[in-house]
Amino acid sequence: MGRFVLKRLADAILTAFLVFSFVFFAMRILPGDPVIAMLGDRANAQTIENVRRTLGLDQPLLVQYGRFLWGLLHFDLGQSLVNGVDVTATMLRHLPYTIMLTLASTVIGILIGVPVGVASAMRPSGGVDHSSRLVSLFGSALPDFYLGLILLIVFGLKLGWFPLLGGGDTAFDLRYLVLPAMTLGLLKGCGLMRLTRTAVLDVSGRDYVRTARALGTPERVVVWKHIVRNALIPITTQLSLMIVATLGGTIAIELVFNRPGVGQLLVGAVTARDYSLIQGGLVLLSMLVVLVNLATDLLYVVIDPRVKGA
Amino acid sequence: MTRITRRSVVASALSMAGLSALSPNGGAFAQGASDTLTLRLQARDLGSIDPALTKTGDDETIVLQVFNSLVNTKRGTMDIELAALQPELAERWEVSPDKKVWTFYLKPGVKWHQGYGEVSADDVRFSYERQLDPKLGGVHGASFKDIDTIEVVDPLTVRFVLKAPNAFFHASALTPGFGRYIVPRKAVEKLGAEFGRAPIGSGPFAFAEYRPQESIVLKANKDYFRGAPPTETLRFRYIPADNAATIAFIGKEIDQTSGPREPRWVDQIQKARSDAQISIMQPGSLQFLHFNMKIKPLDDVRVRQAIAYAVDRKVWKSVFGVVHGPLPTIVPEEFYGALKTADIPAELRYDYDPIKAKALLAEAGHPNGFSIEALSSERSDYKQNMLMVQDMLRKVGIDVKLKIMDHASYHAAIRKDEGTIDMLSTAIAPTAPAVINEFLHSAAAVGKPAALRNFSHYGEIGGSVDKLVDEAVGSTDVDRQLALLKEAQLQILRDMPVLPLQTQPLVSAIQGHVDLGYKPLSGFGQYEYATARRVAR
Repeated sequence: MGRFVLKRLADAILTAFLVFSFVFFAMRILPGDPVIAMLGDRANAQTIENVRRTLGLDQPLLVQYGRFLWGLLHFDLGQSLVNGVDVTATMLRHLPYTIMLTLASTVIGILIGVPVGVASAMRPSGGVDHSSRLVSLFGSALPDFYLGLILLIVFGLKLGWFPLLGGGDTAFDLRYLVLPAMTLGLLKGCGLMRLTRTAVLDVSGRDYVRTARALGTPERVVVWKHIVRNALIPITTQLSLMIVATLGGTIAIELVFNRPGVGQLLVGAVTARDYSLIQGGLVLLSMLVVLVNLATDLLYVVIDPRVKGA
Repeated sequence: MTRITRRSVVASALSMAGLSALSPNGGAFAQGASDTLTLRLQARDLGSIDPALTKTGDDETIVLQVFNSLVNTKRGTMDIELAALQPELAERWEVSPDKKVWTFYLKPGVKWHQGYGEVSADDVRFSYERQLDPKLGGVHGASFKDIDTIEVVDPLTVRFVLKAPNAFFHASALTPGFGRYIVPRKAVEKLGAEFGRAPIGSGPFAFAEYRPQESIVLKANKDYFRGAPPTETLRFRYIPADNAATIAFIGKEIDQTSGPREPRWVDQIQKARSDAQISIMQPGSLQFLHFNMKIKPLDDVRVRQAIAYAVDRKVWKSVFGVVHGPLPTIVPEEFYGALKTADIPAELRYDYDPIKAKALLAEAGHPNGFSIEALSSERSDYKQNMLMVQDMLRKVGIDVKLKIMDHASYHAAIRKDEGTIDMLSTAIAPTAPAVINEFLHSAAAVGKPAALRNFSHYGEIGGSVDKLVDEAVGSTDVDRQLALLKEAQLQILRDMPVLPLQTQPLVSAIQGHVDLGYKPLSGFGQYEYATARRVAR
């Protein structure tokens, strides 16, 4: 197990380094000038040059890259090019909002998707199966920001049950979390529902399930021990992909609810060509993604010990 | 064929949910505290609220509450007639007959926030001199380039001596906006860069809290020299998405919001909140096209005139309705020194005439038109205008191949002189010389060391009104000054380095229960909240 973890950790570090380097150079290839984006269109040429020099953007690319890596080694992500705010502090302030949204929506997705998917697969073409497939198809076709707007208008604006804007004083303020988490959770639940159904159906036809049933094993045990447990590998894979996508891809939901998460932060940074903030944000996000992947790999071992030897 | 865009999907979602007919009954989150006003900022985050370093209208909004300038216009207007100036930190002033020496007498006992002492003549000198240093990284310094020296006569008297007579000095350097605020030397030197995120001013509200990408909170300055504001707290919230802001306004979670400059947004707000006060402030942004005269065939005045005749500017009024203002020359009629529409001879009005456009093109050697590549920002006000122009020019045989890019890339490209027909949508100090010097003076041409926003290279490689405007600025005879400015604007119309399209006023909605204490008539969209209060309606 120790060797397995170390190997995965080494992979994770190499992946993170490649991501950091890609992010650094990709930002420089993009058209646009951070100094002009920062100063606006009223700045004169002399001021633009002065600011470029002050920010070190007049240095050769490799020098800038070296500084970036050196900063990373010292856990220093620098300051925002736009307003000088410390990037690490900004990210640490926004990250909890994204993590809470990710966790809450994932839990909602699991609570909806897995039981309904299992129930659906247990009686294919039954009432539950038909309804769940219909709902899941509808959910998969619905854009997240659209569903978010509907929930916001109905439960926030019309009924007044939830606030309309923001993320609350802390990321743990549930009043502000419920609607965005429900939006993403419902959509994730739809995806998980279909996947769980397929995975469970696949496992249900295996020989060992038939054997268990022939041996008179109680149906509850057959379903949860033999079928669901063996169906967990693809479900776990899908879940980790969902978590990764939510960590970096909640921009539409954050905009609809004006939630101060990382997605919105990064879109703003890209628009402003705020290299430091983009780099800092992506570094932290990619580290989170690497951690999620690592956790998923370890979970595979727990679910199916054969994976360790693979 | 109807194009389906994200905006149309959202609009349909709003109408599906019956938004315009909603009468929100949610009380739990709907109202802020009675002593707090919650106001929208459209930006994603703060740039700097050091007055010398502001770059966006939203930063200017905060600065307007925290700082004071030396003098002011009548509240809610852009009236910059010298005789109409209002006292602010300066309680009186004297201007030498040749308009070269301007002396200001400060009101005694005006205090800086947080115990930083009293406003002094030295603070005034410091506030301007720091902006003349290009190392500061500000963008307002060009407005003060005419200053030769600033003398501290005594602790409450400051004297500006200009390099040359300037009858517009008050408009370009003294009234609020664009860096023309007084800051405390002691606080700036002590706080350094932090001053841009937590400033000290003398204004009606003092800075209290900044939460990145979330909000800025200001608290009433009880010692404000013009009387403590009736509202205790201003909470400015960063809400970049128009839809989120609109829903929050309809749900009364915010007291003010700006909106997209579209007539349908005004209708939507009026239907959903009939008591809301809709404010449409002229002139807002000036929108015009620069013709890069270094590029063929735009170097030929006949081609530029042909384009002017081919663009039917009346269409803008029908498209934008209440959020449209006319712009017959590059200087809006509301600005000091602007050429009035009635004074423009028929041959320089460029009324829509595609036949004349084709004739001019033929005369210039392009009987079948021509093809040209042009850049455009993806920002809606840029893209929409360019698409309309593209469509109109196609009818006279000019094929504009548009390359649409994000806003930052667009500005970077036109700064590098990569544009051909460059659209601009921008606000500027309300005088004819300010507009012409920024966009058409030879020294402002891109590529020059002190380049501003002359993307046509007018005055550098063809035509020029430099002398006319320089002379007007130095003239102490108002009639002569106005005559020179009129001639400059007529010459610009003859040379056609820019094609004015329209002004787009800034639109916002304020809840019916908020009384600003004055009527906003004209400006760039920033409200002063010193006299704002909640009232029972």
